[in-house]
Amino acid sequence: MEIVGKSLPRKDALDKVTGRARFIDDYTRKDLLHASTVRSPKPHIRIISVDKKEALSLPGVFGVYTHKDIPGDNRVPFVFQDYPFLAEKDALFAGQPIALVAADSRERAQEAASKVKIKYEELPALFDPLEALKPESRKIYGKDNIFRSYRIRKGNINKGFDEADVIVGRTYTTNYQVHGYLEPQGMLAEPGNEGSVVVYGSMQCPFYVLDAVAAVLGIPQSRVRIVQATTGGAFGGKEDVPSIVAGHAALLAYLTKRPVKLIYSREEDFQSMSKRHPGWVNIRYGARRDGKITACQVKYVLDGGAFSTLSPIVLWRGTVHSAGPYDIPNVFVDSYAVATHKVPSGAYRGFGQPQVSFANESLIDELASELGMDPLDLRLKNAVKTGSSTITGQTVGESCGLTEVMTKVAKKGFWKKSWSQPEKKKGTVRRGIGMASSIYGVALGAEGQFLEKSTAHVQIYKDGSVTVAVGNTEMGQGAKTVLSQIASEALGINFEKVDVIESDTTRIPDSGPTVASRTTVMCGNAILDGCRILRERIDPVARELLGIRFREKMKTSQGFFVSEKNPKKKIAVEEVIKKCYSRRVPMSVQGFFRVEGTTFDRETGLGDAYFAYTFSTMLAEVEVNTGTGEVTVLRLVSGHDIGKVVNPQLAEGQIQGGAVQGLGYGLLENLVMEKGIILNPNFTGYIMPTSMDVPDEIEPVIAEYGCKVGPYGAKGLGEPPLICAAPALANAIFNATGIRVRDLPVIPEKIVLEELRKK
Amino acid sequence: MKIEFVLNGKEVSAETDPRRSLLRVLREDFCLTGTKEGCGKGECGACTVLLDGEPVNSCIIPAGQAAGKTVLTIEGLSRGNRLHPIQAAFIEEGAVQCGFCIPGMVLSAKSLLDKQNDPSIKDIKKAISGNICRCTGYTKIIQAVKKAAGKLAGKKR
Amino acid sequence: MSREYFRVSSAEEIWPVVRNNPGIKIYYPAGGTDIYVNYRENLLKKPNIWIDISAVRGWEKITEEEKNISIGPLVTFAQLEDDPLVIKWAPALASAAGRVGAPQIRNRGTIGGNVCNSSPAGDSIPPLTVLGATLQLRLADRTRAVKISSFFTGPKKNILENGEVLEKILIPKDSFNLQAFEKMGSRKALSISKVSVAVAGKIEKGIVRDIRIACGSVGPTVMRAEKAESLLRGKKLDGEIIDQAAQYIAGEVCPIDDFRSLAKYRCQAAGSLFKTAVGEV
Repeated sequence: MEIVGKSLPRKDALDKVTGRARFIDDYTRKDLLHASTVRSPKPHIRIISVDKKEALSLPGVFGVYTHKDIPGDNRVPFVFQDYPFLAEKDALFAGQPIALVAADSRERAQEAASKVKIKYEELPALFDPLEALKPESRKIYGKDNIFRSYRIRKGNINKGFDEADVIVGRTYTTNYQVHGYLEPQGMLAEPGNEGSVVVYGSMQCPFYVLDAVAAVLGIPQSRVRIVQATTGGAFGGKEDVPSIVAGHAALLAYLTKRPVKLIYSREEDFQSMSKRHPGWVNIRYGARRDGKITACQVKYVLDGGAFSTLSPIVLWRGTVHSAGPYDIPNVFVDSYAVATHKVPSGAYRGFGQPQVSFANESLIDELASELGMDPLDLRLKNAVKTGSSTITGQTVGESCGLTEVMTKVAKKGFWKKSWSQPEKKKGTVRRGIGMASSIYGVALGAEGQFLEKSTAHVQIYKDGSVTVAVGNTEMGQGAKTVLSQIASEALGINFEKVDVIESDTTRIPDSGPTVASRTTVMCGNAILDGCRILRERIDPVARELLGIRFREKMKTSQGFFVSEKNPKKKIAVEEVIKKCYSRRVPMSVQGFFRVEGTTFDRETGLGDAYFAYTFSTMLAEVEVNTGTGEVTVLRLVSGHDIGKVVNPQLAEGQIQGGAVQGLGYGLLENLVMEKGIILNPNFTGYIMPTSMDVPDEIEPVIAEYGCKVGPYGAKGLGEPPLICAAPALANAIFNATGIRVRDLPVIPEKIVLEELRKK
Repeated sequence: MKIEFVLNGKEVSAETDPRRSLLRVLREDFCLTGTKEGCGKGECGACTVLLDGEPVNSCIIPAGQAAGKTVLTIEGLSRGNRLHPIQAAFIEEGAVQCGFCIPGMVLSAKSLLDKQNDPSIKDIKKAISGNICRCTGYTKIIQAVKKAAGKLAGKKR
Repeated sequence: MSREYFRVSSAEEIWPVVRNNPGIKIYYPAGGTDIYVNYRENLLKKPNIWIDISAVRGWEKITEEEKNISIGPLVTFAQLEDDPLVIKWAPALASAAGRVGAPQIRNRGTIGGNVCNSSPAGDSIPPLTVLGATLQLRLADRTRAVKISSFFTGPKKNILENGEVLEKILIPKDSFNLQAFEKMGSRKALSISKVSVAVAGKIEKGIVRDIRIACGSVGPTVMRAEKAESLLRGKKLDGEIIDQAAQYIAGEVCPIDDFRSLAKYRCQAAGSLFKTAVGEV
C-alpha cells in the first residue's frame, strides 16, 4: 500500500501553524450581538421570579430572555429528555442556565447578566451518589435517582469464589476529570434565508446540534444549517453539551434577528459543562494459587449529576469492561448511574472505563501481592487471547494482540530487570515501575447499535481531484487526514488531491457521532464502499484506454493506472477521469456502512457486545519523594493493538496525548467541589500537566492484529491511550513506596499522609 | 489613549482604553486572530506573543504597556507562503493536533531558538512550560523544536 | 479613560498624580500579573486609578553598593534568575525566581509586585526574609526604610499607605555559604507554591554559625522557623540534627486547609523541603 500506513503530513497543519485556522471566536459579523448566560447560584432552587429591569436599563443591552421566549421545545434532545435549555420552575445544579442576555459587547452582556436578579428559594440538595441510592433519600430523578442500571451474570459467582485460594476485595474512588480543551465552548448563530438559521461553532457532532437547534426553535430540520468551525480540542466534552450552547445562540439569533456570538469564559465552562463522572468501585477478584482468576465481582456507581445526558451509555461501556482484559469464567457486575444536585457528567475519552480500570488494574496488582506473583506474570496468565471468553461471554476473535502488546511493552520498559518488591527499597527518594492493561470495545457497541451507521459522499472532479464528505468531524485527532488517506488508497488518486470537506450539515451526510473511537472504522468503511462503486465505473474505462483485457491484472500506483504484467503500460488517473466525464459516467457516489450482529441481553448482561476490540498495556516508571510526596514520571511506555495503522505519526500523537491526559487524571487533576460549588473552576486551581510534568518522550508501541471489519484491518485508537495511565502510575507509586492510594488523583498529600499513618 | 508600537515589523497605533488587554486589541482592533484566548488569566499560554522578543501572556497585559515596544504575533512569523523553520518543523514532526495552543507554542519556541543554538530537551521543556497543550502530550512538540534548532543552525552556516 | 490611567516614565512624575487624586485607591501596575488578573475578576477596590510605573527609568536596575545589592522594584523574575550579582550574593533569590510560574510570567512579574502583592505564597519573600532585606518606601517626599520582617501584616496585607511605593530593595552583602530555596507547587511548572522554604546559613567546618529559615504558604505571612534555627545554631550539621530540625519546622508552621492542599501535608512538606534545601535528599 502506498498511502495507508504512511506518516503523511496532516491536511490542516498549515493553517494551524500560521494562525490562519479559524476557530469560532475568530468569526465576526458587522451587526454582531454578544450573549451571556444567567446561571443558578445554588445547587437546588425553586425559581420564584426573574427580574430583568436593571439589566435591561444598562446601555447596549438588546434583551434578556427566559424559557418563556422559547418558540419550540425546551428540552435538549439527549438520550432522555430531562434537561431544559433554560430552567423553568427550578434549577438542579449550580451553574444551570436560567436566562440569556444579548448585548452589543461581551463585557456589557456579562455585566447585564450579573444584574439579572433571580429570586429563589433554596432547597435541600443531595451530593453523594451513595446517599442518593438509599431508599429514604430525596428524589432528583424518577423513583430511585437511578438514570440507568446494568447487570452482568456470567457463570456462577459463588462457585467461582469457592474455587479461589485467594480473594482480594477493595473499594476505589475517582474524582471528576475536566476536559480542559484549550478552546472554550462557543457558537455563532445567525438568521438565514426564509426563516432558516445557521449556527457555526466548536463541536464534535454537528447532527446532534442540528437536532437541538431545530427543537428549541420549533422549525423543520431542513431549515437548520450547522457548520463546524475548527475545533480546539474536545475529548468528549463537545459531544452533547454544544447542543445547549448552540440552542442558546440560535434562540437569541431567532429572537433578535441578528447574528449572535456566545463564547464561554473558562470559569463558566468549568461550572456548567460536562465532565468525567466521579466513580465508586467495589471490586473483588478470586484466584487460585497459580494465579488463574476464577471469579470477579463488581459494584460500580457513577455520579451522573443533575440530568441524565450520557450517563446511561457511559455506564454501559464501563460495565462491560469492568473486569479487565482477562478470561474469567464467573463475573457478576451491578452498576448504577445516579442523580445528584451537581453539574451533569458526560462523555470524556474512555467513557466510563478509566474509573473502573483504575479499580480493576490496581486490584490486579494487589492480588499479585497477595499471591507473591510478579504483576506482569499474573496479567499474562489471565490475558484474553483468540478463543477466550470476554466478560459478556463473547468469543475473542483473531484480532487480539494483547499478549504481544504486554510482552513488548514490558520488554521496552525493562520490566524484568527493574521490578522488585517495594519492601526492598530505601531512602527518601525511591523508584518504581507499574503497569496496567485494558480491552476497549471499538465503536458504539450493542447498546448503541441504532446509531451505528455511516454514510460518505465521494466526488471526483473533472481534473481528478476528490472531495470526501462525512458526518464525522476533525477535532485535532487527525480524522481529515486519515480518511483522505483511505480514500486516496482506494481510488488510486494522489493524497495531495484528496480532501475531506468542511463539516456543514447541508453538505455532509450523517455518519453518526464522532465518538467511541469509531471514525476510522465507520467512516473509513463508508468511504471504501463509495470508492469501490466508483472504481467499478472507472476501472473498465482505464482498461479500455490501456488496452488491457478484463482478466489482466491492473493496479494503481503514484497516480497512474498500471498494467501489472507490463508496467510500462500506464495512464494517469486524470486522463481516465477526463474520459469518464466525457462519457457521462457518474463521478459522485454515496457509500454506506452499517454494523450488524452485536448483541446484549439486559437480563443476563451477556452477548457479543462489540464487533472489534483494541488491546492496550501501559508501563510507568516513577520516582517518588516520600518526604514531599512529589512524583516524577520518568517513563511511560504505551502499547496498543489497533489492527492496522493508517498514519503512524498521527497514531503516535493520539497515544502520547492520551497518555498525558491519563497522567493528569492519575496524579494532578483535582476538581474541588463543596456542596455542589466548584472551588477551583479555572486553570490556576485545576492542575493539568505542563511540559515539565511529563517524560521527555512518551514511548508508543504498536501491534497490528488486523481486524476483518475495519478498513484495511484498522480498529480504533482515540480513547484507549488514556485508560491505562492512572492505574499504571498508581501501581508504580506502590512499587516505589509500598503506599497504595485508592482514590484519584494520587496527589502528594495522599502519599505523605498515608506514609505518616503507616509510621 | 493613543498607543504607538511596532506590530509584526510595522509601526502602528491603537486608539483605545489602555486597560483593554493587549490580546483583545490585537484580535479586535488589528484583526489578528491567530493569538488565542484560552483562559483570560495568564494560566495557559494560548495568548503568548513576543514583547520585545520575550514571550508574555497578552491576555493580562494592559494595551497601554505596549507603548514603544515591539510585538510579534504568529502572523508576523511567516512571509507570505514561506514558513518559518519552526512552523515547518511543527508540520513535519506531527506536533499539531487541534491547533489552539500552536501559535503561542511556536512563539515560545522562537524566543528560545533566538537565544540558544542547540537547546537540550530540558531547555526546550522549560521554554514551553507556560504553554499548555491538551492534545499532544508534548513529545512531538519537543521533537519539532529540536528539529527546528537544527534547521536554523543549518541556515546560519 | 485617561482620568483613571496614568503612564509615568520617571519617579518624580508619580507624585503630582497622587496629589491630584486624594482619597482614591492607587494601584501601581508594573508587570500586571497580579493587578491585571484582579482587575479582570472585578476584585479591585473602587474607585481607583492606575499609575503605570512599568516605564520608570532606573527602577529596572540591579546595582552593587558598598554594603548592599540594590534591586529596583521593576526587576523581573527572568532578570533575577540570570543576574550575576544576584547569583553571587543572593542565590536563594535567583533560585526562587527561576521557579516562579513559567517563562511568560517570569518575563513580566516583578520583585516589587511580588513583595507588594504580599501573598503568603509569593516566592521572592522567603529568600528576601532569610537574607534580611530592607525595603525602601516612598510617599512623595517621605522615605522610610523598613525591614522585610516588619512589612507584612497578613495575607495580601502590608504596611504600605495608599499611594506609597516601593522604590528599592536592599540585600546586605553577607557571607552566607549556604543558600537555598525549595518549593512544592501543584505541578512542576506554572504553579503557585503550596509550601516553600528558604535557607541562608554560615557553616564553618561543619558547624552552624548562623542559620535563617523562612517558610512560605504556611501561615498568614512568611514565617521564620525560629525554634529550628535555635536548635541548629552552634551544632554540627549532620543527618540527625537535620531530621530534628525538620520535625521542629513541621511543628512550628501553622498553615490552613484550602482547595490547594491540607495543613497537615504542608507541615510535613515544609520539614521535608528543608532537608532538601540543606542537601540531605
